[in-house]
Amino acid sequence: MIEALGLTKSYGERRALDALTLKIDAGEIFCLLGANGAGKTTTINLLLGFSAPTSGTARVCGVDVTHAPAEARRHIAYVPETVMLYRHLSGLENLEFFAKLSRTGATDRRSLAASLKRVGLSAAAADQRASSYSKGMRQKVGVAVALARKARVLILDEPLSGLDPLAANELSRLIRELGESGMAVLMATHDIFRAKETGHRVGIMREGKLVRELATQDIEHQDLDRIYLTTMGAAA
Amino acid sequence: MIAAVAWKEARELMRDGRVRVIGGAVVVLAVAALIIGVDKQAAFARELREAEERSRLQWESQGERNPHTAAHFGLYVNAAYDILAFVDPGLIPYLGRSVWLEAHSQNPMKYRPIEDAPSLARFGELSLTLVLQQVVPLFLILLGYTAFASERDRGTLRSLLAANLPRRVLLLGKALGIAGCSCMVLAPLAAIAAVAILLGSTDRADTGARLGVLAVTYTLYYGTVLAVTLAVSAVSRNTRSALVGGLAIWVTTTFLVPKVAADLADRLHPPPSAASFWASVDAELGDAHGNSTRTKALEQKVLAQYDVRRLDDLPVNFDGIALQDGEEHANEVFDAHYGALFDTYDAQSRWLRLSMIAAPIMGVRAISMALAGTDIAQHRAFVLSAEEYRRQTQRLLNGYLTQRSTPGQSGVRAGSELWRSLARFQPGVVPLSDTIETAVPLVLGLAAWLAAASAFAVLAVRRVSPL
Repeated sequence: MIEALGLTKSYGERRALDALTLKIDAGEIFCLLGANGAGKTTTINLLLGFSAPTSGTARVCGVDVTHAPAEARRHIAYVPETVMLYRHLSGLENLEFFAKLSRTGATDRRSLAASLKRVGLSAAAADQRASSYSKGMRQKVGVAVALARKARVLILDEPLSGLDPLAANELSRLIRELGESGMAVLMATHDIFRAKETGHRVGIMREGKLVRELATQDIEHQDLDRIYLTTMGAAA
Repeated sequence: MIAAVAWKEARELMRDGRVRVIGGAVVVLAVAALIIGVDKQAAFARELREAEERSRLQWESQGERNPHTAAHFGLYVNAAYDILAFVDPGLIPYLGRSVWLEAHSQNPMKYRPIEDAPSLARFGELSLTLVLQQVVPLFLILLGYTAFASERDRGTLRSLLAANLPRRVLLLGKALGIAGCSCMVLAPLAAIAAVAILLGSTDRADTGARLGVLAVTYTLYYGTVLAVTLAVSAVSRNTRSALVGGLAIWVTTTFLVPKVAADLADRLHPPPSAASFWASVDAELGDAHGNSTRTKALEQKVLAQYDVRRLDDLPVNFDGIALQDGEEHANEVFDAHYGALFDTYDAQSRWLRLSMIAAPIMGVRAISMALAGTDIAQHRAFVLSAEEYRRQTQRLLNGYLTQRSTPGQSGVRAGSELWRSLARFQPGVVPLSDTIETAVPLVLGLAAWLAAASAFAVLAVRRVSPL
């Protein structure tokens, strides 16, 4: 579903992403860990076709992102670090708008309200204007938007950042559900605990390179914590 | 997808209060302008009509007197007053609508409203044209400046593009959303004004056609303003710079370009000052009452023509012939000087129309004034018709004098029968076909502006980056 082969992005002399090779299959959740500037967001931008790689290729559902970015994006649902909504529209209206843009899923209000309920947003909250939403509520709408797209690939950029533990736990559960439904999920995060809880595999990035790849079932939380610190420490 | 974007854009604009607050201000201004304009222009038109009637009554009831004395008694005539002058007074306040017709002289216009205006009038009077040409574009800018800039500011642009929304769909949807909100404010106003104008019109087909061209003109103009606003919003780094950019373009194209263009027109095609104009006219006119060498030559010619030796032996009154000859001579002088003056004004008008290359409002102004019958072409048509009427009057009076064989003027008397025989004045108007002919290239110019602005917007939106 998601493939990167020698994917490289340079800005002048600096390599933001260095020969990333990665494969995420349907139903698999891959968590990218790394410090700021490690190359996580660059990877996401390349997969979304927002910037062109210096070399290498990226494919989403078999579509070359560089050559057909719009076609590739048809298969992708994207949740940014901070989901920004139209403040004068309600959560439901925001979802309705993005659902209509996707033209793939249901756009009737009842289905959309059900989607919001599924991600944990109450009916009363769904009808409030987004200007009154907390970050957690916005993230839930973001995930509902992703669900409404009926996409086969879900890309999340630091979705848990800034959420309270309860909201983070809810979102983590939801991402696992989406993975179980057959979506290929790529989630960039700083949160080692949530990466271990949510993902099937974890990749650690450092200075644009994917330096470690681990299956979460084979390691304990403490081990991942130690491995991450050791890996990052090696950079220091 | 276009409908979804348009719906979202319109709903946001409705809810954030801009349509309500700014649109409300536009409505209040437009209604006030319409009421003030109708009241002021109707009063002005009524005064002129009454003055012309009074003048005609005085002319017809001046009693028995010498026809040449009557020629100096003179009478006032007024230009035609189209109902659309309520919408766009154009050059009326500066050129006036009334002229006094008398012997020997093609007089300048009298009673220019600007002479009676308060000093604050230099800042511009409230008129429907001011609202349509200056306030509504500002309204569109204030509705549209956030279109792309705020999407970028709040981070929703990245979500929109990640949702695979084509940029041209985004542009078109936003344009339709903003246009829809604008129409909610402007369409009822336009409909009410159009119905009121048509009800007050004496020639509804003519007025309807003029309103139709006006509607096309403003649609193209507002489309251009909207496209430029969206383009500026797309290329701006943030909402604030989009607002500053939009306002800068508005100030430049609405106020600076017209001012600079008018100054340049005056420099490139300078009209003579009133003093020098009349000095050169007077120098060429000579003595209008027949004491010139020209009159002596005419006397010899007429004596030879009738084969008599003395003026007293003529079967006609030589004074009438001499006065008419003086008129013919003066007519040539006036034709040359006024012709050159109007050629200068025409050259200035052409330059001002050409300046729509720099600002589309120049084209809109020219079309609006032409359709309202308040431009220089209409003024020239009136001046020519008034002058022709003056010459017709002088021919009538001098002809009457000539046919009376009493030598010298003092013995000849005429009465109300002669005064009444003078046909009523019919002011010259530029026919609709000529006005349309003038408007067509300007409308095409506005269409070119819209095409260019749209291309600019498409290019600007194509460069919008989600990063």
